[in-house]
Parts: sequence; structure tokens; C-alpha cells
Amino acid sequence: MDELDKNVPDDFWRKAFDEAAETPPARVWDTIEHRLDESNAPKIIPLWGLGPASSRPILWGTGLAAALALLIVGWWVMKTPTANPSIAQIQPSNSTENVAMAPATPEKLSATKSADQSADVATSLSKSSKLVKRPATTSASRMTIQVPSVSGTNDVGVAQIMASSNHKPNPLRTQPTAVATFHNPSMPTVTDGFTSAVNRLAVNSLTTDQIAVSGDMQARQNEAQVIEQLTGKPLRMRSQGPIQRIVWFQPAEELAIEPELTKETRKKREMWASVSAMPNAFNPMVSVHSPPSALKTVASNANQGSVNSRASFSMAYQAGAGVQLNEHWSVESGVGYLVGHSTVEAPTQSASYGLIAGANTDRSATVSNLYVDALRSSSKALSDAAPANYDVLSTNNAYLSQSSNYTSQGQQMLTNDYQYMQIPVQLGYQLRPRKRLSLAVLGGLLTNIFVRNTVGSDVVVTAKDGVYRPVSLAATMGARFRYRPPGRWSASLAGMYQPSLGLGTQTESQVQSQPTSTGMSFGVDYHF
Amino acid sequence: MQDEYALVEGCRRQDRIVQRQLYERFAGKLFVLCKRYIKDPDEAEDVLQDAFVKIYRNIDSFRFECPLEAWLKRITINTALKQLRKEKPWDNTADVQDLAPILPQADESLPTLNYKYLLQLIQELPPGCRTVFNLYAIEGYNHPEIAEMLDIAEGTSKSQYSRARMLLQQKLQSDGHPAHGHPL
Repeated sequence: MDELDKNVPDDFWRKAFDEAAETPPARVWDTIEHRLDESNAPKIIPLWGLGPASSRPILWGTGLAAALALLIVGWWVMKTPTANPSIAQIQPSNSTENVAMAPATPEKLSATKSADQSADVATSLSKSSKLVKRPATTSASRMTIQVPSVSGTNDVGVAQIMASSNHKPNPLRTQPTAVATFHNPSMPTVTDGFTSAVNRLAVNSLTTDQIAVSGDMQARQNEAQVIEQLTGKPLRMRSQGPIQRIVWFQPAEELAIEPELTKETRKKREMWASVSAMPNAFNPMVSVHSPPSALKTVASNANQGSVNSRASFSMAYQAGAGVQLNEHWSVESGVGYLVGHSTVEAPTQSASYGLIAGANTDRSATVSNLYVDALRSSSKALSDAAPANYDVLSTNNAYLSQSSNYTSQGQQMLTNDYQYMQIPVQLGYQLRPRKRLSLAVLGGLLTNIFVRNTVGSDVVVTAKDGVYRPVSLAATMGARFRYRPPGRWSASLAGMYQPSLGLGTQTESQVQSQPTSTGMSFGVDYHF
Repeated sequence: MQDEYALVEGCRRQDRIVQRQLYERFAGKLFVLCKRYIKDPDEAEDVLQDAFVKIYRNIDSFRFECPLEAWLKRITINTALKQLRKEKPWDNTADVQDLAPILPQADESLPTLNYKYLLQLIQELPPGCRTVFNLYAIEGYNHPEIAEMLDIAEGTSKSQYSRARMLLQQKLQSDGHPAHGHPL
């Protein structure tokens, strides 16, 4: 190999540039941030142009409703009396200074640290949206303002500001997130002296005379209200100790406190919302565990056939949300709707079989068969609502005892359309965390809320009929692939198996059902 | 490493504060890197911007298989090369492979010069020489790799590098530094 191909490391040049760094101009980050904002801007889906919402009357209606709502809100805002603003509220929003700038007026306040340090800390407290210079290596700082609780005069206010941090000017622009909280001067325990001191503090803090005057007037009004509220109340004396007001703030974005910030951001859990549709095979696993009371004579008959159910193509829809608990574990829940189609094959009575065979009746028509009879006899409501021929064929004990007989030769196929509301709660374990194509194992519980079951074309069983449990539980388990390209959207594909835990029917019901569902879910997720 | 993990995770969540932290931490070094490849300061800023936008958009593809800084540098170098490819400044030098044996090797005992001075020297190189020199002498790629990256012949890469060393040597001598006292 040629000597040049070996590329002996040129340590001279490498070392020279290894730690070389040069702070780029601030506009570089501004541009980067702008470009990131552009790419992250949410896409607006014009719902008004889609589907039924695109019709002109609906557009006009929604427009009018929006306008009306705006008018009502506007009227309400105008009518509502404005509450007295606190000291923090009367500070100008476009100022880079606030109450914490008080150390700048030494005749009122004395700072324990040097003036420039105090100014730095105070500036950090600013809630202004403007760019500020702030200390580069400041950890969470604490500022304590001590004000005498009782003072005989209004012009004496002593504030002591203690800042426990190093302060070095840093040209970096940061997003101030400082929070300043001050005691409301209208608190009953605050005496005149304190109120005046706080007022003085507020006045000193404001940058323009106009705002200062308005703040002073507002504070005086507060004083009057306080005195008015205290009228008639017993006077409670307090010891003349100093009232300590602690103002906490935490610079949100500094390299020196990076570990704290990263800890905080780590706590911020990823959340997502999803919608999915699951084509599935739903099998109610129906059986008749004891015959209707009216048919006991038939039950002992050896010719009686059995009830079988078969799964048919069904659909389940689900909207949900999830949260990533840590790198591997997640929990998710939501609400779903299952339309479960199945076919039940049940023996008919020999009499009705004769009718069916003779008349070449539609196989889906509900006639007297073991399954339907069991459903009807399990529920008085269903029995009452039974058609006239049911009385003749099934409830006429004399007739039944003589001629009725369930025979497997006359099996009737009945469609069953189940409807359930579903509330899943699932835990997920990521097998491929942080990958673009992730794989998670899911497991949890599914609460099925029974809505109705339509048997054939004319028997509708609802939760009130007492046949099915209004609420039943099922296990849910499966695996899910999720493909997440850069951005907020992802697509998921999951294979799910959902066997019920226990019966889906009442224990006293003669029809027993233990539904099971197996399917493949397709979903779209939005990550926050 | 844990710190880098937190930075990467935050950037994956598109947490603007963490994105800013990543920028604050690495922008200085990457800016110097951009300046080594791109002489024009405004253009170097543009490349830095492009690189960081790429970094944030492709942070999902970072698998911690290498140090984060190395990954960031690679993206920045690729962004700079993409910018330079528009001009193809490395295509205009003949193959001078036979110059290789006469080139001396680095001597680690040499005094360290100010990086700003060295940066100025590199920036004064013709663009083709500068690119190959950066890739070979500082980034540590070999000539076959450089040839593939720049879509040039290996010989061209070698000749550009040789020319760069020769020019740097001359410049050092003219600035009063002993010619044989530096790794050129």
C-alpha cells in the first residue's frame, strides 16, 4: 500500500483543532430555530371542505354559531368587573425590569451582595419576552426579601436581597422562565406598614413614571379595601418579626444546570394518541347449558342436536392514548367499539323443521330452535316479545310434550351481530426501543360493555334482557410493530388475541357465551 | 454518556430546550470545522445551520454506535462537502502520486501553534487542496475513502494533499516558522 494510503494520524493538526471552538453568531441559532418551527408547524386539515361539513347550510350555521359564541364571550368579558391586579400584574409587560430590580434604588433597598450581582439575579427574574443577559453558571437561586411587618411610616421599606450564586455575564440568549410570586397586599394579616412597603417596592420597580403612578393608585385602592374588610373584625396583634418572602426562580436553560434540566426533561414522558381499526374473527363460543324449563322433556331426548357457533368477519374500532413510562414500558387505554359477526348453528324443533323444509323458508329467518328458545326462556322480556308461532310451538307444553323435538337433522343457521363498547387498558413492553421500526409486546384487560346482539333478523337481545352480562372482562394480548419516521406521526400494525375471562352471559342464563376475538389491528398514532 | 443520552432523547422529543443545549455544547467546535472547509464566514454559517437542522431531523437515526460528537462532525462534514460539491474544486489537479515518498511525517514534539493561525493557513489554501487536507490530515480518512467521498480518483486526492502540504510548508517558512520544525 502506498505510504499516503496508510494515513498516519497527523497529531499536530488534530490536536490543534481538537478543542478549537468559536461561538457562532446568535443569528445562526435563530435561523435554525425558525427552520425547525417551520418544519414542526402543524398541518391544518380543512375539515369544512370534507364530507357533510362541506354543505353550504352547515358552513353558514357553524359560522353563525362561532360569531354568536364570540359575541357572548366578548359581552361576558366586558361585563365582568376586572379584579384588582396584584403587584406582579401591574408591572409592564414590555419592560425588562420588574419588582426584582428593586436593588437598583439603594435608598429603599440594600443588597447584601454587590450591585452588579443583584442586578444580574434580578434581571433573571424578568418575565419579559425580550432577550436578556444572564449568568452562565447560576444554579437555582434564592432571593429573600425581608420587610418589616409593622411599620409606623409609609416611607420606610427595607428589602434585603440575598442571591446565592455566581454571576458572570453570558451573551447567550435564553428563554426566561423565571417565576416571581409576591404576597397579595390585600391579605388580612398584612398591616398598613407592610402594604406600604410593598407598594413602595412596586413603585420603585417600575420603569416608567406613568405605570408607577398607576400602580401606586391601584395599591392605595387595595389598602382601602383591606381596611374596609377588616372593619368590625377583632384586632389580632402579631409579633414584630420580619416577614420573609421567598421568591424562587430557576433559570430554565443554562449549561451549568444541565444535569437538573436533563433530569427534568427525562421526567417528561412521551405521549401519543392513536386510532385503529381491527378486522377480526369474533366467535361468541355459544352453548346451551340447560334447556328451557318448558322444554325439559325435550332435553332428555337423545336426538337433540347441539349449538355451535362460528366466527365471521368482524370489525373493532378504537381510539386511545398512551404514555411511555420509561425506555421499555408504556401504558395505554382508550375506548373502542366492536361489531362482532358470527353464525350460530342450532337444532330446530322437528315441527318447525317440517315447516322450514316444507315452505323452503329463508335459513336466516328466526324460527323456533334450541338457541332462540333458550334465549327467550332466559329472558321474560324476550319471551313476551316472541312472535305468535313461538307460543304455539314452544310454550304449549301439551304440544311440546307430545310432538316437539330438537333434532340435529334440522340445523338452522342464525347470524349473530354482537355490539360491544370496549375499554382496553394495556401495558406494553418495547423490545426495540427508540428504533424507527419498534416492536412491543402488549398485554392487559379489556372491559366489554354489552350493547346488543341481533339474532337472525328479528330477535334483539339487549343488556336489559338479563341474558348477557352488561360488563364482562377479557384479556388482551399481542404484539405491535410501529413504524415511526422523523416527525410526530407513526403507523402501527398489531396482532391481537382477546379471550374473555369468564362468561359473557348471566350465570342463570341458559345460553352461555365466552367470546373470543383474534385479529390484526391497523392504526395511526400522533406523538406529542 | 448518560448526558449524551439525555441530550439525544430530548432532541428526539423535539424538546426545544434540549435542542438548544445540544447546540450550545457543540456549535463552537462545529463552527470551526465548517470554517476549515468553507473560507467565506457567511457561507460557513449557512453550512452550520444546515448541519444542525439535519442533525435535529435525523437524530432518530443515531444509535449510540459512536460518540455523539463524532456523529455530529460527520454530518457537518457531509454538509460542507455537499456545499463544496457544487463547485468541484478538487478536479483540477494532475495526479502527482510520485510525490508521496518525499513528504515528511508528523512530529509530536513540535510546539502547538494557535489554532486561529493554523485555521487561517488552511483557509488560504485553494478549495480542493483544503478539502482533501482537512479530510486526510485532520479527519483521518485515507485516500480511497476521500476519493469515494469526493467522487475523484485516488491519485487526485493524493496530489491535492501533496500540494496542500507544500503550500502550507511554504507559508510557514514565509511566516518565520522553521520549515522542518512542523509536520509538513
